[in-house]
Amino acid sequence: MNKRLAYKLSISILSAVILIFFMILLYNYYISRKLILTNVKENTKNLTSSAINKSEGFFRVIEKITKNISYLICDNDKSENEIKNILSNIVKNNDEICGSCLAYEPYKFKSNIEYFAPYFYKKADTLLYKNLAEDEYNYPAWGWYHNPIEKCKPLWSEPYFDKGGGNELMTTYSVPFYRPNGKTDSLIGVITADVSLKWLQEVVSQVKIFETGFAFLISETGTIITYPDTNYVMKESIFSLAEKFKDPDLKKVGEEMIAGHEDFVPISSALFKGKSWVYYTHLKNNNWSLGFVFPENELYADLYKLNQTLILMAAIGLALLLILIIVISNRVTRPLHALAMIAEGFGTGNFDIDIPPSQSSDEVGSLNKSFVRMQTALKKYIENLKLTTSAKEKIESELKIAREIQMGMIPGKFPAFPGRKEFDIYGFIEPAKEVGGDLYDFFFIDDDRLCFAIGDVSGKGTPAALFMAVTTTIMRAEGQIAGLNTSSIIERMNTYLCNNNEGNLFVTLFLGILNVPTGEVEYVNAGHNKPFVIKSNGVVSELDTSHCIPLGINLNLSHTTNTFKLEKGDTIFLYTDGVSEAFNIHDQQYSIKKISELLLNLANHAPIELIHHIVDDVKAFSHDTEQSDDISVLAIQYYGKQLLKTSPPDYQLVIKNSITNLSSISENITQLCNNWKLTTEVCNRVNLVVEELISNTIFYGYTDTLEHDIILNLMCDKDTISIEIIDDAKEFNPVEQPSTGTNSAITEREIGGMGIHLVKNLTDSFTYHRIGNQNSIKIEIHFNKKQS
Amino acid sequence: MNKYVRNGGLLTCILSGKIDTLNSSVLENEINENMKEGITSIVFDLQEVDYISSTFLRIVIKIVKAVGKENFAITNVQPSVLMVFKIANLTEIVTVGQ
Repeated sequence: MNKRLAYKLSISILSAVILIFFMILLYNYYISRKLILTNVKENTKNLTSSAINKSEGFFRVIEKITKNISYLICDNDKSENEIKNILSNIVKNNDEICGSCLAYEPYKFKSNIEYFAPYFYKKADTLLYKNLAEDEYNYPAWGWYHNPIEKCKPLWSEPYFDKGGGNELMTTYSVPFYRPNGKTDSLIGVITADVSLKWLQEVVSQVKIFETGFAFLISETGTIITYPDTNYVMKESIFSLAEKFKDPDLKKVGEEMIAGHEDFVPISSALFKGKSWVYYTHLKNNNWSLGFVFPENELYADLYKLNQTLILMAAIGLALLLILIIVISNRVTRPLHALAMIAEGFGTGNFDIDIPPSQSSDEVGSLNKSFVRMQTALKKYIENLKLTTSAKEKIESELKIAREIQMGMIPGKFPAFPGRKEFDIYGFIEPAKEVGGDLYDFFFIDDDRLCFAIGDVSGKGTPAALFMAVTTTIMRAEGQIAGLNTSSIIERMNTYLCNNNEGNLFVTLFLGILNVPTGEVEYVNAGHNKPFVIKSNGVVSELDTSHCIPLGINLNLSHTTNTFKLEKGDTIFLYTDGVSEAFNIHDQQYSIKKISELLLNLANHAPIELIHHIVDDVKAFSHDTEQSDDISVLAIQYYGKQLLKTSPPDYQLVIKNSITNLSSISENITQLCNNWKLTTEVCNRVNLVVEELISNTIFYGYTDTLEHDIILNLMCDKDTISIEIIDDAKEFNPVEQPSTGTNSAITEREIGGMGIHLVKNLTDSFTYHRIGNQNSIKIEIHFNKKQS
Repeated sequence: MNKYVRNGGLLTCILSGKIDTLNSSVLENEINENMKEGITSIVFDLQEVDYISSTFLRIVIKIVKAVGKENFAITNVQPSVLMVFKIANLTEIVTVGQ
């Protein structure tokens, strides 16, 4: 945690610093750049003026000389020799001039000579003469002659290579000259000076700007006159190159240049070797344009250098800052880390850690103090909790023992009377709390008379449980005095409970005595719910009783004794109000009506089945709500003497849930069928039914891999075989399984479900019950005993 | 002991004894082994069989689905076994006689 906080702090501060620094750097960069550019612009003229002045001076000298001659000649008529003399002197005495010609208009030199054009020129340092009128040259057709005449002003020609004169780049300056003739001047001819551009080329190419910057010269039409790469000279124009490089920016600059403009522009072009600034200006003499290329990276070289230094310094500064932040944040968070360790110790129950006192008065200091207070408070709290918990645990364990004792007072072992086949009895109790005030009990007063009772003490919990214990004990004590009837048992119990009732509790009680041989029952109802009687034919009715007040209230009970008779197959069902008044999540009661409705379908069910049906239904009803009252139920089914034979089963087989055990079942059934003298057909039916059902259970019924018991009961009377299969597999009701599609074509048949279909069709009765955690399947197969 | 007679594309399975949950998987394996290449039709001879359970019906349905109804027959069915076929409504593929 310590490291993380320090890390987070360092990262966020550093990020902010880097951001701010970067912004400053960026701002600085742009401002510096702007400044440099302004400076360069201002200095450009100084840098370039020498070259421009030199170039313009060069042309000016030639112009001056040529114009002077024209004045000299036009003044008066000169002889041929005089003219030749002047021309030869010009050529001889001016290094820059390689040749000069004086070309006359027809008949203007002498009225008898049509064309005359004396021309002196240098070739290998010797002066040569030629009259251009004498060969087929036809000078009036040439541009150098007629262009200045047409424009009436001196003109510089486009640069050209002089093929005769050493292959040098040349240009020619032509001046038309006139003679005054009345008011107008009449044109006499044109005087020219041929000039080598070698010197100018040298001047321009010597211009150096920074490391690789250079100057270049283009003519009036854009033809390149000087350029570092001589391959372009006279062969390309700035426009042809713009075309070649597909460079519209270059074309634009070219247009600006030949238009005679002056500017300083940024441009990225192959001609200027990448990004650069170009300053261009035109020469006043002849509209040629001079360009100066400033490579951008060299222009800003100092700025880049400065930035590099700044970044390096920043990096070092940031590194130092990082170390500083880590050191500081570690120092700040160290006490927090220590507190975190202490808190962790608290979490594991260690409250005896020494918290080092903090002298600081900042937030960490106050947190430290809070920790000390928390430690004290927690220690105290935990001690209190320990005391409370141990007290509670003691009570709980005592209650648990109390519950065991209470449950021990109620008969809970079934079958309760394995030797008595005349009736079956089953009871169930479930207190809402650990202990409760409900009770049921049954015991034989003598060999024939079974005393049974169900009761409910007012209130719940421990007081009710103690009163219940007294009630049960007294009932047993009084009940087992042979010869007493229900009336006197109840009376004696009431007397005792009234006289020893400091807590003012009372108990409702239904007490009956069953005469087992006859089925007659005499009973007293002291304020308890009316039991139900379920006749073997399915009729359900509440036992119509007049009842007296509960026991423990008044010594004068004024009770009445009633009697009724249980026929064979009849069942009496007793319950407490915990059943009829169970609440569900919507605050609705289970109700007596619901009990009677459920009992309608439970005729001829054994007491254990009947009770679990009711209890399961009540539990499902009040699902998700806390049990509000104790639940107790008791049921007695009366068989009489005749039904002794059917129970217990004639034959019982218990097997484990392994499929290999099927063979022993088959053998046993076959043996049994032989004993009962049944036909092979019936025997096969029994075998098939049992095999299908048990194999089904073994294959699909168990969710674990443990060993389970499967009980198979077989009974046979004169025309019926009864089979009962009991297992503790998961709930599965084969009776309700839909029949497989035995009507569909064989190729459409499903593989499963055939077994149960066979069972349904091979049996005369097929019923299923879920009792507790057990599946119980009962089957009857009727037969006609043919074999004797 | 079950016997398997092959005649061209016809496989005759002469079964005997009880066919129940325990031994039906053995039977199924035996039939699958004998049904290898070239077998197009199957006949079950149940002369010696006096007991079948639903597991046998499952084997029958599987084989009918595999070879087709017209290529499968069961002969010599005993009355007790026939009853099971009747309940399962599978008599269309069963002939009682030879």
